[in-house]
Amino acid sequence: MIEMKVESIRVSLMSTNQQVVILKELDGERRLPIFVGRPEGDAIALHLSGASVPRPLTHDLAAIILNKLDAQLSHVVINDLRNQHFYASIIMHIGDDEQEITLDARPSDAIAIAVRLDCPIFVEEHVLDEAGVEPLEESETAEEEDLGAFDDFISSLDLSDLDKDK
Amino acid sequence: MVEVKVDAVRVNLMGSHRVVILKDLESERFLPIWIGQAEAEAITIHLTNTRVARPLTHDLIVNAIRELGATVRYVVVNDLREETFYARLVLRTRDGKDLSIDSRPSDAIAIAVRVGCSIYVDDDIMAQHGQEPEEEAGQEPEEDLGAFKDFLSTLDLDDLDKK
Repeated sequence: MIEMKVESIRVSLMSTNQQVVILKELDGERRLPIFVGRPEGDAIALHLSGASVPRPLTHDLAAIILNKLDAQLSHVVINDLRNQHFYASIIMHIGDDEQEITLDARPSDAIAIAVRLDCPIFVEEHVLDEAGVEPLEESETAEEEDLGAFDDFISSLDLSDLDKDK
Repeated sequence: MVEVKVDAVRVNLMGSHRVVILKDLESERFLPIWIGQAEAEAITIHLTNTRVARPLTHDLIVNAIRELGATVRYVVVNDLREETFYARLVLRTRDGKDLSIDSRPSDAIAIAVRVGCSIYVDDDIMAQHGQEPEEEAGQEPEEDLGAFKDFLSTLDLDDLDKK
């Protein structure tokens, strides 16, 4: 297992209902981008930005319930990728009990809870091998694509109209 | 406390909010509560028996409560302050102790429908903010018609033939 941290949360321009959580290796440069739903992305971002909310959001409630029921979170782990879906687990135990409890979760929920309860986030090696992104590759394609869209935009402008408004 | 059930989740045409209608089990009174879109979906997905491939956030909460040996006894909408409803989730721990946890009504209801526990509304809240169906039936068509009239009056029908 490789420990990760939440590096950023990005808005997808392709769909307003999706956001991308970027997990970065603690001891390396690889990133794991995970598409999440907008409410879950907001739940992670809101907590990390330190914003205060007047009422507990759903993941705040989850964290409060875990606390009150004496759950001790060991870690969360993104442990599989099947049919383009990431799978995650929340690993915990009750109080001083040795017995481990594993909860099946979506990565977005696991991460939103992990950041609230300060527990480490891991990714299984085979998942990072398959879906991890090296920073160089990422920045090259990003630049190219961005420029492409900008070029299209520029060439769609009719600059000869520019003076006619006056 | 008045026991209620989820009668409907309605879409507000003006924004992204939804309204959950909690109906008194023993009368026609109901309490409408504004909730967010995501929470409304969490309630309706479960009530319509829609299968989801992966556990949603409220499914995860219910699984966690069960795995931690606790049960949900009931939920109650118990306060209204500055136009915001407050609710409590009453859990029984594995040691048999009762815990009362502050929650938004939407989350409490989404959890209640999943575990099948009772949903209550505080007597005073229902007395002050509950509505009777007659009132609503009188109001709604009028409002709807109002919006339609406004729309009609903005149309410039003179232009209709000019094309």
